Amino acid sequence: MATIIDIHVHHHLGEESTSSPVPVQPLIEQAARVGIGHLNLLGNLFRFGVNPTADHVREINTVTINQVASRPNILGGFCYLNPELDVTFLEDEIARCIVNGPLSGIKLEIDVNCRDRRLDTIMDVAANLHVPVLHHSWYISTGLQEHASDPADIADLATRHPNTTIIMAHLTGVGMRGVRDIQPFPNTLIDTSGGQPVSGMVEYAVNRLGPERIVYGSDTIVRDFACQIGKVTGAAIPSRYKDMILYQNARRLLNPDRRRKVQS
Amino acid sequence: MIDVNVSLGFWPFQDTASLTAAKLVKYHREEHIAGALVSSTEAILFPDPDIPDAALFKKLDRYPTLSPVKTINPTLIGWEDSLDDFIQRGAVAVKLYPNYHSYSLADTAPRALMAELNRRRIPVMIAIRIEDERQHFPLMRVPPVPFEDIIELSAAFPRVPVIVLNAYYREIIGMPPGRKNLFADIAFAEHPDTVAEIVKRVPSKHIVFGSHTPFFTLRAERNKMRFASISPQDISRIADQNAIRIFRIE
Repeated sequence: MATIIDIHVHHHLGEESTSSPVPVQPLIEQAARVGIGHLNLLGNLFRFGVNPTADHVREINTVTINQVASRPNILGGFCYLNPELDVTFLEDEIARCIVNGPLSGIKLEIDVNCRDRRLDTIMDVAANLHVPVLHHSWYISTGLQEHASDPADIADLATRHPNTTIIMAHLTGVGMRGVRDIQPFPNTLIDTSGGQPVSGMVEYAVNRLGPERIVYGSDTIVRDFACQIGKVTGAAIPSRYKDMILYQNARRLLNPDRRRKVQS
Repeated sequence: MIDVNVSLGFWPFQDTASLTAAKLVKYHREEHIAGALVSSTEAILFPDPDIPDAALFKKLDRYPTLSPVKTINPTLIGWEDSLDDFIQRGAVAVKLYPNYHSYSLADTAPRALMAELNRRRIPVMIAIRIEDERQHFPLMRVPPVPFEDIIELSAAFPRVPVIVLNAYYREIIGMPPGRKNLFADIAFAEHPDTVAEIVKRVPSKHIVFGSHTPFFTLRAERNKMRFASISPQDISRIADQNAIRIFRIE
């Protein structure tokens, strides 16, 4: 079987230096044991808390860049951005990380709700570069964080940016309602990362969205690779759909040949 | 492998009713699970657990690898007769849902039940939760059973095996050391290399395999054990030896 791609990996969550004293090698080895050969790093997002400064965002992405550069055959990564920051900084950071760097997509978290028009520049640049934007989302009964986005917000984003590929994170977290929220938008996929391995959800997403719109992710370092993979391999869907979810769809999204360089 | 945490029946917020006993046995064969302790899902919400339990026990008669578990609500009048009746029907353990049945483990009624379980040497399983609190239906948000209440109960009745179901990783690793009659399953626990990380902090003799089937994907739960980097002795304890000892499975 071809190597599995995990599109949603955090290394590490917490304080660390720019050179990361916590080696990524143990994570690579754990992933390899369950058949994952490519980890897409999304950055140490909460290292500086919510709404980090430009310097903090730069530091987070520098660690990701360094890690990816050190193991390009195994590690990929996305550029984390805080849309609250100046547009010039955002454009420069995308250029540093993606256009002139090894990263292949953009990560947005809970700093700014995605209905906010300050996301527009990021989304337009992503469309121009043909890189995906992976956006956190959840329907939380216990109360959403102040600026966090739920799937209805993601649907609004998808409506405003039909030419940008969006990956809505956290299938279990968004639930059936979230799957239906994005169903009308072919530019929006969903990742399986995070949350408990609730049965029936992968099958539901396949029925509603089609297998081509689902990508496997784990949300490690808070989750267990083996358990999160089991959500897909244990689902009652054809083997060929599992292959699509576990690596084919992600390979298509992360293919560097899809990316177009911005003319400077 | 023995799975201590399985239920059959209808739940309003997830398609759990599709899983029949026959399908469950088939999945167990595929996942190399030799047996399971099974309770009724409907007994959680139905006003009298005896009714769905009677249906479950009758269904399980045909499946020798599935051992029935009686749900008791000790606030119901006549729970003693229910306990007696279902032990005679083959119940291997009792299961409690203090949060869904609206009582505290410090109340008189559950204490009286524990005294009876002590007398009869029957293990008790306490489900801290059924679903991740973040995913609860907004109009039915049920707080988890406080872990400290379960710890205190296990101390008050040291000869009754107390098995905590559906605890999170951070709850399990907070179990007090040396409490001989306290155990936890791994269904809701998750961390990179979940079981190995638990066993670094809690002796494997206190951990049992539980999958929370059909709420959770059995393969995902089984993978926690399949890929756990722990010793064969620890695997054996968690997979079945602890359960065999606790529930006196032959």
